Amino acid sequence: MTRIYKKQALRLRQSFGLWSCLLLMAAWGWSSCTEDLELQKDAPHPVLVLNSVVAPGAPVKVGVQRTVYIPNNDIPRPAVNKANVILTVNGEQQPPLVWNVDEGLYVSAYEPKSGDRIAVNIAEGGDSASAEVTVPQVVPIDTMTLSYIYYGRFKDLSMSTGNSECRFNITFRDRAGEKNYYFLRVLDEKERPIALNLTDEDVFRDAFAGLNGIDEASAIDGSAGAAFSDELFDGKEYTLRVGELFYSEGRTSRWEPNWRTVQLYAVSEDYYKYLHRIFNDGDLSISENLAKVGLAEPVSFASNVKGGAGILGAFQMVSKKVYIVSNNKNNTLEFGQPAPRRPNEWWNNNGESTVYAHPKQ
Amino acid sequence: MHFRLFPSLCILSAAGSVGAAHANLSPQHTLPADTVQRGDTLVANEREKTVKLGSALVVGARQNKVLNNAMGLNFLRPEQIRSIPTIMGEADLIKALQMQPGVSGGVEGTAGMYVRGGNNDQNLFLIDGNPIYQMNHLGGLFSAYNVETVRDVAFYKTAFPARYGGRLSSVVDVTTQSGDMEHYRGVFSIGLTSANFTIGGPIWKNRTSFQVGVRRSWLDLLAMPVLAIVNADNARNGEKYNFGYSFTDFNLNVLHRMGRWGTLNLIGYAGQDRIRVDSENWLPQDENTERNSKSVLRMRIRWGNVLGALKWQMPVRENLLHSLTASYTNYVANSSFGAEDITGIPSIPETYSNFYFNKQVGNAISDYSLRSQWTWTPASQYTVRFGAEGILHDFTPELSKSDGNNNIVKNVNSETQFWGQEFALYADGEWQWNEHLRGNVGLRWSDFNTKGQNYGRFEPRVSVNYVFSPSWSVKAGYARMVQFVQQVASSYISLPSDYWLPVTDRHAPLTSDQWSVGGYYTWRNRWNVSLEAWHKTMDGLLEYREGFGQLMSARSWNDKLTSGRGTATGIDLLIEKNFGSLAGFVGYGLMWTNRKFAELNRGEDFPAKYDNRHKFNVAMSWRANRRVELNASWTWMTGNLITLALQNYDYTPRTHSDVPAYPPGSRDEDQLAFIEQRNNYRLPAFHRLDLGINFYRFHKKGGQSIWNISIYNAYSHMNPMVVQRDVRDERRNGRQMMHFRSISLLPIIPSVTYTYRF
Repeated sequence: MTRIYKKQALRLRQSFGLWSCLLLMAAWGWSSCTEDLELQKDAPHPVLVLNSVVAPGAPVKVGVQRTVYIPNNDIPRPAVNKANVILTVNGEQQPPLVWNVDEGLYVSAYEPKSGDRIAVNIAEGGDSASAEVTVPQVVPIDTMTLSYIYYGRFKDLSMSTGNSECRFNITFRDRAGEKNYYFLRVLDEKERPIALNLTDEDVFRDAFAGLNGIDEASAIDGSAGAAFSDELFDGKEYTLRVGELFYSEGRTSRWEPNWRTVQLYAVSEDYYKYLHRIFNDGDLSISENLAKVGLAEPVSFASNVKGGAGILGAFQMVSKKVYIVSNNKNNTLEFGQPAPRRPNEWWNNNGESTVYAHPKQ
Repeated sequence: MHFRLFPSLCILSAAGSVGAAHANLSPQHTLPADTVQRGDTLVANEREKTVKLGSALVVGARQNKVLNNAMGLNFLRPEQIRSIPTIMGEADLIKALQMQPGVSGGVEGTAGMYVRGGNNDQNLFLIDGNPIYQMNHLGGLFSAYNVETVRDVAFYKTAFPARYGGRLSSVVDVTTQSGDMEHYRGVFSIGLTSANFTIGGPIWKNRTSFQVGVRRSWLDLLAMPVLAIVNADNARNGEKYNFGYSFTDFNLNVLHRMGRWGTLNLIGYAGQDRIRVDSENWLPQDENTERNSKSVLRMRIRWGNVLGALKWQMPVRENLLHSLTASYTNYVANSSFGAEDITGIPSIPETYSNFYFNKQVGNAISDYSLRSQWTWTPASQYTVRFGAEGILHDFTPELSKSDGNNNIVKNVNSETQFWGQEFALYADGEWQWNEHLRGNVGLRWSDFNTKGQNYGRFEPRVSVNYVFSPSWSVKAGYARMVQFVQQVASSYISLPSDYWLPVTDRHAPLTSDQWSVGGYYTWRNRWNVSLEAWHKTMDGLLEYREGFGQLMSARSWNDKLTSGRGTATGIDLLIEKNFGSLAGFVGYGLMWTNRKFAELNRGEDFPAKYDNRHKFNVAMSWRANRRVELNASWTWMTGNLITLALQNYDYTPRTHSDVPAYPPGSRDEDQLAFIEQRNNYRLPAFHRLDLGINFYRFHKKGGQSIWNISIYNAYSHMNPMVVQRDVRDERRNGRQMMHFRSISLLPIIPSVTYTYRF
């Protein structure tokens, strides 16, 4: 979450979110007594954690660790480097994975392919854990268009976090006859994820229902990407509409020229649940906060690991990269190449995306 | 002779046969149970030609746990309820029931009731035989029933008679007071949180009487001047806040005697809570931007019940009584939130913009019911009850509305409303085979139909009592109960937003089977000892699937739920002393209760949240003299269970260069929390002592004033209510340090209440 987004979201939350209600209901009591809880001296038995996300074109790597008892969080976590890690692909066992000390991972020479059924078994210290995943098919981006939306000069005083938006319209076709899961993110020129405005996209609609959406922060995070499913468009072509919000003083204000890379992931089902919990719900969702203050049941992170924790996920990713020069008076965005430019010199888009006519200024 | 009113033994009317302890009364005068259970002593008295009971102390056989067939049954009189010291001095029916062995109170201060391992929604609350859904005010801090209008409460934990159905774990059958047929009588009381006024008397002497009770909290009135002062100061900063909470309940009982046609009884109840939070922030014209702005935020939460019932009770023959009741019950819980931002330059109207949104979520049920109940007493040792009831449910399980011109909030108007039909037939027979053996056998057939799905269930009930001597007996019982509507909570405390949801084609009805066996001993009906062992299984329990709480998602409420089963096993011990200047009871409960859901806790068994292994209660009342009475109650129980993420692990490492990840440091927590098991942490043992003292003053004209001073949590033991997961800025070895903090709500709270009876 960008700092400004988070800051404003926090301010809004504090001012009137659900917590104002709950805190007011019990205001006098909440301050009455708090005490650090004495946890049992005997730490629960740490379980094996299997973490691996695989994709075609790269060898399978597996991270193995053990859960840590929270009071011992500051104790250095020794690498679990003596585990027996077995990779099975489509029922055929592969050579054991080898510990790579530099990466701190177990590495195989095998590079997965679409549709591969990958199984990983780990054993260490008398414990064992296992997980399985099928590598999803790639889903290409058919087209991507961008537009510029100006909401109004005083929009920044409203509930939203910007008065202008760079809108990405990403069209792809969902594979018919199967449940498919996706993850979308947009990266800046340094390949850092940018915060996305997801409020106009129906696939994220449930995040804004009920008491969610009482402010942006409680609705959906989306600050580093968001996961979604094909529930609304199973087997059909679909155009995803997400945006990047920014502030401007008016129609004449300019977008800072920059690279943007749109990445669309087709992900496995359990990995989708894992990503959804981390990226969609975020730190500030109502459910997360209710659990943190002890008013609701905390929920485990999605895991497909039997006998342990973690996730074995799989994905295939496609990307579109575009250099956005500026917004213009016709409410479109302009594209070009990142080259030195002199004042008042502009470029037409000759990059990877739709070409817009560029009015010289 | 010194009579005590504290124990629940002083009854002027009774279900089942009534035994008279007073020398002038016949020792075993039998009254048909339903004749009097619904508040009509006169019919019984006229027909049976009993003596006028007046103020005589009549000890009912129903209280004699050795002789009656019932198991897990307790009766509470208003005097007994009032003798339990409570928070803010509010006499509280639910708090009195929480003292019983086998009943867990849930989170401290709330009116939760988890009976014999069941859930909070598995208690059937009846007002004169008519079910209501919500018995809590202010998230459970006070129960929603005015004790001044209660005549008698029957509390069943097992071996339920066949006339009761619809909930798994308990029946709380409240009989309200009808007005005096000859004199006007009333009660006025005022305490720190509320005031109530109850008055009753004849409308038509010896023919028609009324009893009306109104109670209202006055926290909002007290807060008004405080808020006015705060806001006067805040106005300089462009801020204004408003907060108000109020609860109201209203009770009505109109009784009309129609001679040989029996009686007609109009019963009314309305209980409602309202929470209101408003805030306004405004900026006067800014010198630089020349614009001003104003933000308005509003929140409203409202929940409550309305009940209206008309009951006609008529003796058809000398040994056959019929009662016909038509009733309407409505339960509504609504929460609404709204915000508005207005900004612009005063001199340029076109610069003004207005962004707003309103959201509303809610849940409602309306029930229209008709009941026909018959009581037939062919011989003194046989009583047969049979009847039928039909309920037409109008469900709105999930209401969601929103509108606004902010792009965060889309206009939504989703209100899932549908009908359900519930029908039941029942019959049970109570018989005395011989001097030693007696019992009760019943069968209930319940049918629920909604959305084209029909569920029919048989509910057999049986209890057998073997009386070794008038002093002691052994009983055994079995009861199957079925529940078609349940309340699913997504938070740890009872909130009005907890939805009542019916079964549908996706989820089967809840069913419980409970087996009980017990030994009972009485010494001259003054000391009663009961020891009951029980085992209960529950099928079809609903919980939210992980991550699908009611507040969290727009998915259909049906999709968010998952069903599972529960088991509970325990022992309840109750020792009561009923007479003398010192009276009271000691209770002990031992319990194990577990849950198993395919989609929760990785499908493995886990203990229920209120798996309070041991519970120990003492409640004593000492009448020092005619003017002073001291009350004390002490509870100790094993702490509640909660779920804590006690372990953590790292995010997915970069096993691939394109693995999505947050930029370092942009998440509150560096690691992912790991929960090895649901309800994995037991809170410290709960214990609390409450004290109360009543000063009575008797007025010459018959009035009575009572000053009550109560001390809730007398030694101020801070029992934790919730546990907060706290991520501190502190880091050691580059790792975040995390803590769990328990939050306790209720320290020592003294209170005073004044009551005037006339």
